[in-house]
Amino acid sequence: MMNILELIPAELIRILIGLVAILVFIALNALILVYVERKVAGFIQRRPGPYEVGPWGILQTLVDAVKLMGKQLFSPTGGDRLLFWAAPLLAFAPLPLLFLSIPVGKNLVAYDANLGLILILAFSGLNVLALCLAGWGSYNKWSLLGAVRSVSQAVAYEIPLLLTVLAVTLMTGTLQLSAIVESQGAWPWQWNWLVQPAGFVIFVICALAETNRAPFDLPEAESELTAGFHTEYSGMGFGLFFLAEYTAMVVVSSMCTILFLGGWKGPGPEILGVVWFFAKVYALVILMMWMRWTFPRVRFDQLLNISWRWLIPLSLFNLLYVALVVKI
Amino acid sequence: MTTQNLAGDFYTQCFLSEQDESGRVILNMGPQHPSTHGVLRVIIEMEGEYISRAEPVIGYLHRMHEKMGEVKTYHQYMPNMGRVDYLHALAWNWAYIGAVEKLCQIEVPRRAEFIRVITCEMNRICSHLVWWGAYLLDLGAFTPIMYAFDDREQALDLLQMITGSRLTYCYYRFGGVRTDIDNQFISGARDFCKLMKSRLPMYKDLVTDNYILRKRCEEIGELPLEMARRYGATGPVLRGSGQKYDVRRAEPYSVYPELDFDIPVFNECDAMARYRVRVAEMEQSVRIIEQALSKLPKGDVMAPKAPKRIKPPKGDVYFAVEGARGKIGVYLASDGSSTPYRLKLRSPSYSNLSLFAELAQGTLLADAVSILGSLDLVIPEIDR
Amino acid sequence: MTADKLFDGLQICARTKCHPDRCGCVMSVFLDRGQLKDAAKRLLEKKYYIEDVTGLDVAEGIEVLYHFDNFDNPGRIVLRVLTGRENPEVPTISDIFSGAQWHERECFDFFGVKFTGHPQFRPLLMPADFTEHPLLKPEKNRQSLYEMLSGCEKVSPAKGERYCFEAPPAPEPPEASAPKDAGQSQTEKKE
Repeated sequence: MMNILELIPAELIRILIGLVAILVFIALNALILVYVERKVAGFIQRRPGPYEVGPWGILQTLVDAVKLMGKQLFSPTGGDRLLFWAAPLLAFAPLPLLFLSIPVGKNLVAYDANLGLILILAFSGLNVLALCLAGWGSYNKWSLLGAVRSVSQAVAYEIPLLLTVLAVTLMTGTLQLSAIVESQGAWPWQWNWLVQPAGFVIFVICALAETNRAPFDLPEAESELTAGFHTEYSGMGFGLFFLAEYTAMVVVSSMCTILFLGGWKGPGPEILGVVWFFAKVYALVILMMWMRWTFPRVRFDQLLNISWRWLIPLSLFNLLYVALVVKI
Repeated sequence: MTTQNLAGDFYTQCFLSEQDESGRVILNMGPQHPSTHGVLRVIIEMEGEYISRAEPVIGYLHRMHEKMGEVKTYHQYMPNMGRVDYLHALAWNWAYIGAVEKLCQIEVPRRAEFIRVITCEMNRICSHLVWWGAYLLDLGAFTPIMYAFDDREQALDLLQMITGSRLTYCYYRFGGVRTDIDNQFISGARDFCKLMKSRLPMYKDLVTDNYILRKRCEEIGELPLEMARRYGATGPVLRGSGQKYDVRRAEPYSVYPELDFDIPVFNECDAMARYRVRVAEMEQSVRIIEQALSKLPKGDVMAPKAPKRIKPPKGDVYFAVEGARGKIGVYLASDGSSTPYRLKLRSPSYSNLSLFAELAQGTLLADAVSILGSLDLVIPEIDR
Repeated sequence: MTADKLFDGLQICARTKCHPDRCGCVMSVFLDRGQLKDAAKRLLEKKYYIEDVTGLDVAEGIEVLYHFDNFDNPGRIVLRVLTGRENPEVPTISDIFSGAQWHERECFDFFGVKFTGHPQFRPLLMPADFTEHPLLKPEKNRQSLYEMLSGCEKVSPAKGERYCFEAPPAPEPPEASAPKDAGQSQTEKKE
């Protein structure tokens, strides 16, 4: 018995435990975030939000999830069934991988890859593919329009996002996320967001666009494209996209926290690192929710213009500034 | 099922047959679509995200009110008018009642006229508030509709107090109104005016001045005055094109000539101008309500000589009032019997929507949604 | 008023001045089909806008009514074109007033009046396969147009393609021409 356990490398066990923890976290996180989102929306719109199921309505999302699971799954006539069902799986599958290399506290990381940043960027790119397949497989023009939009949006916003990430890595000289966190101090003025504020702002805007959150929720623009790429999905098909969206929100917020807001670092003992990390992440998430419930949606050409005309040149200047000022 | 079976219905076929260039995407926007507000259907020919041709298809909510008018007696027909335009039902009430009163030459007591003005303007504010919220919903802002409905609720409670209903009113009668208003209503209406006065500046700061919103509305759907005239557009759509025309002033009815209010006009011709007109109209309606409340005379609310059974003389009459969406007209021909010989309802949204096809040409899909919203459509009113 | 001179030089059948406070219109103009387009062009030149197009099923045939109004000098003008019951046809004015397109289609739905030259002539409010025209009246219910004009001045002798008011089939001139008031309607009530 002992021998078998010894045969398995410790690193693999660590990853497996990490993955299980991550899956639990993803499910819990979505449950909590949906509840928070609805409460935040309720607060902004001066209404109570969910309050019937359980105390203060905290069981509402659980009930919703059960309802979603109980719904019939069907695929549209004339659609490509394989692609249609591959899409939600593809949207969801890479998500646990994204969390693998995110350090939520000192040494609290499933797999501290030295190319962690690249890993996250690479796997988060798969999301676009999922939306694309969903749009195509649905055999629905609205879905197709949503897919077309999501691809061009992702292409446009990936560039400034990568450029700002590049600026940070240029400064820290590493692609390992824990190292990037280590390079920042415990206090807010020692974090990267003060060194390159432009980079921080650009990253937040791109993060909104990459996760298709309002005011950049064009692929699923409800009033224009009915529901965009997920128009035809029922039950957990839609549920997986939903799960993916909320998890993606946490991923980009974590990225933002690590790159610009000092990761798990904060005043106080290091044991509080986890608390600091999640406090920062959820503050960013709530900021995203706040924006969603406040702003109207931008138009599609305006969205692309923001990226190509403003964000890309700005992020190039940011890179130049980091290269010149910070390095020298 | 193959693609041939999905080739579309009669209207899609007609639309396809008028296509000059094949290979473009034909989209059915509606009848179930979040931003067509009900059951409007627009067939769109798209080139990328640009609309090369659009054709509204209506009639999904057609109830043939005009035929019902020929079958029912004058009194029986009254509840129908609450169901033509569910947002500004009192204006339709007024248009029909006014037409019959004009035909029969029934005098309305002054107190009733003032009550009509107060309730109609309150209903107009409700209508504009719903439009405001729904329009912003079209543009992707979710929150304003909640605020709008909150305010509207105050007015609905007041109207419910005296009319007995919240949406499909049937409150005006031939020669007056159904119930008198009491002190509770009057103080409630004053409070509502105060509330609106405090809310409207907030909405301006929060929503109207928002950069994203302005970019979504400004220079979108430019409707030149000449085109508005060709299509017979009225109401805020027309006033957003720089024409100072309001039935309350142009063909004065009731006690409107005695009240001091402005007709908001904006010259930009775009969706934002129409937006601004409606927001400014809410302010003016508040002004009208306040004046009418302070001028409210004592007396009857029903004409003592009002006939119990309406049997107008032979003849025809056209009566128009200013609804929230424009000129509401009722053409009534009577053959002297107890049912109308012919009843024609001229709904403003009908004319306003008919110009959409021309307005939407060459715009983006998102702009088309913005334009549709800025026309303030109420589908039951279009289909009648 | 400029409205009086609006149709000078046009071959209109007849014109009546109305009492706006009684029937809501300033003038109604009786036209033949051929004169309709010229009259509409006049109105467009004088900056009138179209309110609606509607029909009226009367004993003489189907009358198509066009309501026009002006933004700057309000005063409603009605153009009335009478057309036969069999194969009712009127030229379209949708090339002049674009807004008439839908009103004309509606008029076809309800009355079966065909508007020649209309670019998109198909049902609008009624189902595509619906062949009835709901607002047409049965024979016994039809009234004479001449009797229903009481809100206006009496029609001056009008003769056109179809209008013929000089010797109406069974008119009762005192009842038809004299404007009535509410009192009279009450007397009627007692009957």
